[in-house]
Amino acid sequence: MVIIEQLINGLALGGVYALIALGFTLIFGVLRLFHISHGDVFMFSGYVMVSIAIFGFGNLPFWIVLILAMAIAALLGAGVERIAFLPYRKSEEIIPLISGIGVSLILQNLAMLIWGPGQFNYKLDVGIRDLSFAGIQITGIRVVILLTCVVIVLLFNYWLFRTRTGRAVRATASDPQTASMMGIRPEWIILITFTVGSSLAGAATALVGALYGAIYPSLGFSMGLKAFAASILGGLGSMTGAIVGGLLLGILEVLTASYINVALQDAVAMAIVIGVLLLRPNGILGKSVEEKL
Amino acid sequence: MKKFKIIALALLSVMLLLAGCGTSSGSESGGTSTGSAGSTGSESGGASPSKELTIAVAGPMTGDGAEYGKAFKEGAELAVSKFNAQGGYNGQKVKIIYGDDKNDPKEAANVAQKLASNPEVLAVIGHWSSSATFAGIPIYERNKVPMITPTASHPDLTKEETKWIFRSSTTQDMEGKNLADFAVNKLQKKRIAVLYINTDWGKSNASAFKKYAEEFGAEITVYDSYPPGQNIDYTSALTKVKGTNPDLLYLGSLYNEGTLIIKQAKEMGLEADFMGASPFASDGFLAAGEAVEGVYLDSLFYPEADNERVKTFVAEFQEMFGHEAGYFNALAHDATLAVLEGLKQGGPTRQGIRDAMEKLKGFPVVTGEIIFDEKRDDVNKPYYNLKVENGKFVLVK
Repeated sequence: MVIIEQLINGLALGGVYALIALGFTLIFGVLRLFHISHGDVFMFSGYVMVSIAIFGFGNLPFWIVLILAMAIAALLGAGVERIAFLPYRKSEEIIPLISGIGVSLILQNLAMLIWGPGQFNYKLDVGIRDLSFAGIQITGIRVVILLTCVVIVLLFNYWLFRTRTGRAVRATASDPQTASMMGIRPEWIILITFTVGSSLAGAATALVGALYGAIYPSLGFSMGLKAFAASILGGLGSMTGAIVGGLLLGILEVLTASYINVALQDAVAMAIVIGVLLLRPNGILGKSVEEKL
Repeated sequence: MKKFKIIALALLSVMLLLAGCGTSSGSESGGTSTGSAGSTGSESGGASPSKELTIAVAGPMTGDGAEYGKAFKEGAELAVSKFNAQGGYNGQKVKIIYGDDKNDPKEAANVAQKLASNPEVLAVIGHWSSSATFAGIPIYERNKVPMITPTASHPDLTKEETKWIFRSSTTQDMEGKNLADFAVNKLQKKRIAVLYINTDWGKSNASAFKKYAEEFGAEITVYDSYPPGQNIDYTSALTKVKGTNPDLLYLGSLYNEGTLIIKQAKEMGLEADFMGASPFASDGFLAAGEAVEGVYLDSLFYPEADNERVKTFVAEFQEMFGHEAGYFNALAHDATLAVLEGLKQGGPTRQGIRDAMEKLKGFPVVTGEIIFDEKRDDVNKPYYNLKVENGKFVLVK
């Protein structure tokens, strides 16, 4: 059943997009900041993860690599926030956006300087065998991706809706001034948001690494672009929207490649995104977000 | 008033910046310390009154194809250092300057313009890809600079009319025929799926392969392209391929995405053999290790070939660079040898080099014996059919 295999592939790919989109949307939702270098944080943490996991330790079990990647990304994300966005807290919104572009360039070129401009191939074992039933084959890594995405999203939701910190983050998202009057320190919230959002990108980078076994400096840009599209498709500012958008984008890409033409994969998927936005400018699940860009 | 001052200051700094850029790039491309660029004033670009003659190597020194640009550099350097060691041109040494086209046609045009308008540059060895070479050709032709591409293989690159454009490589038509013969006649493959990169090279490679494979009696079950630039996921295309049950997947790919495609195909349980073209004949491809075991390909250069010139080249290359010579090294080396021979026989002018190169008949190089035909293609190059076994290329008889 080729179509089932295709759907599973699409879900796995979409799951990765969803994780990156989720982090991105969190940052946008709470801070109204279009974190354009989110994809490059994803890429750079991937490189650091590979350097440590493969060169440092040889063969680590996958779940350790996953946690490692999330930690690296969290640190990197927090660092980016401190250096590139903290000084511009009081400026117009366009300034942090430009600062983010600068971060993007720095991370990409730093990666090129340190690890070379070419593609770097490696192998990350997930230790789970493939699933074969009814003529369908699902590779072990895809099973892991689907499970990991579900677990992470559940954990994330639990954190956001059932813990005090999560509530504080949501409060700051809906009304920063009142939240600070309630004793929530905005600086602390911003740091947490960036850390959590970036750690999701870190999870995605570990999954992508296991799935494709390759990384190159411009991977962040292309993945980031897909994540933006997924967030916008699902509705900027809506977490569930980011997940829905990501999954949908993954499935669209895969179906276009199989049934229309591989060459048109990106074009058709993006065309559909544009189409959806024309009909529903707030995205599929979007709430009305003021024009702050 | 304040606004006016700010604008004036901004304009001034922009002008200074541009002026600074202008002089710095001028001295960069000049290369000789006497600063005598343009001293002779002759159209064909004579040698300036300094001790060194300049040739240029243009290719992707950074970006996607950086590996290939580096290979060009090494191959050319070996040829030039040998030439200089043997006395150079009447005591004058040759030096190489490099142009980085980033494997992008727009950059290639810029590089071509820069090299062509530098009268010290006597000849250009480059570019690497067909697309970049297409971009450079009109500029070299217009400025009468002899250009020889070591690798670009689109059939339309060379024509009778473009007198300054040479090719030291075979065309896709020839390679497609060789690979189709390899796949269908020698390996007995009947159902072949074709995936190729959507560039000038990829299109001509895949269409030549398809044409001859069908001629030899095979069925092409899938014929799809994928966009160039770095993509990472090919599973959708591969699921389509898997659904048609081919016994061979032919890839008109560069080795970066080639390794990704083969890895992903094997992971999804595609039970077919894999075949690629000459871009797979590189260390970068072998670096993928286990994943590319058993892949078939062809190449114009095989380091273990039983040939004196090949053996000498491999030994000298190993000594100079500390790693084994590869396909692109050999081709760049041979193209440079052609230019140097043209210099030797025709003198240190662009016209002289061009005229002498055109007349080369049977000039021995590593990959064959150069004979330029009326389109200035060197068609006298045999193919080696190879397979990856135990992490190395082995000859398939």
